[in-house]
Amino acid sequence: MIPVEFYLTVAAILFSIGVIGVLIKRNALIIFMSIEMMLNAVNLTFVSFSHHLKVLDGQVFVFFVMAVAAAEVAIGLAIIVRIVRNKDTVNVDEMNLMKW
Amino acid sequence: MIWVVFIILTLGLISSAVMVIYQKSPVHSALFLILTFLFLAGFYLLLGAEFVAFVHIIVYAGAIMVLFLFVIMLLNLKTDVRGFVHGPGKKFLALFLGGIILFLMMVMLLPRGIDAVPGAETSAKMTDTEFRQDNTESIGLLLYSRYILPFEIASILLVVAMIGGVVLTKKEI
Repeated sequence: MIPVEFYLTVAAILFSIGVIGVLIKRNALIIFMSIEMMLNAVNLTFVSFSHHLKVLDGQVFVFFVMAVAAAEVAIGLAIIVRIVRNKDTVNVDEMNLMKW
Repeated sequence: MIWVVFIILTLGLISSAVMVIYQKSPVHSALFLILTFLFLAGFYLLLGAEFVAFVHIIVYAGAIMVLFLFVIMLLNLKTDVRGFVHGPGKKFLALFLGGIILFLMMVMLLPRGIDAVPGAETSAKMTDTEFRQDNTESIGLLLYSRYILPFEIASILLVVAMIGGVVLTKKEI
């Protein structure tokens, strides 16, 4: 039996790799993929707590996180397609129309 | 034995997650992210959540990442945007901030012990479903009794997302 701290450690490391990916990459699509990685780290936390506390509410919430992530990916990719159609680049440094 | 599986899954997960942000081509990053999701499904199986594991593979690796790959390959980009941020010290700053976030999460976790989670016993008493033999039936019971309202709202959310996706990519609205 593996204590729950190990699963939470793995989820924390995965989450921080996602944070580093969001901060360090310039391609908007890879930033989006790192956001998905962060959501999955949270999913792992939910399932590990559900296993530890012997309740199923964590896994039900994972369900809803997956539904929200699917909706968010659809809209986010539509937005990125729209932006690329206008500016012909996915470099986030050049998406600066709202700057001062 | 279970520790061997755990260590293999952890090493695979961390290395494929690092490869996601290390690759230059977005197609390679997407493929490594699919590999990350497969390792994560292995974690869910280790935690006894087989329904969550299969739904994870179907939804994430089978639908969301395929959508990503469609968009990556359709946006046939001419400019070269592979790579990390430019500028003096920005990469180090990003790694430092990621390390701080990891440290904050570990600080909350390690010294206090995990059984000091408040509200654990009450949550265990409040749920009105037993652990049946399979995970699917248990989750189904809970989803249709206590969580019926979020379930319906999630379906409305998906319809809104569909409409939004169609509206956002039309040429004239």
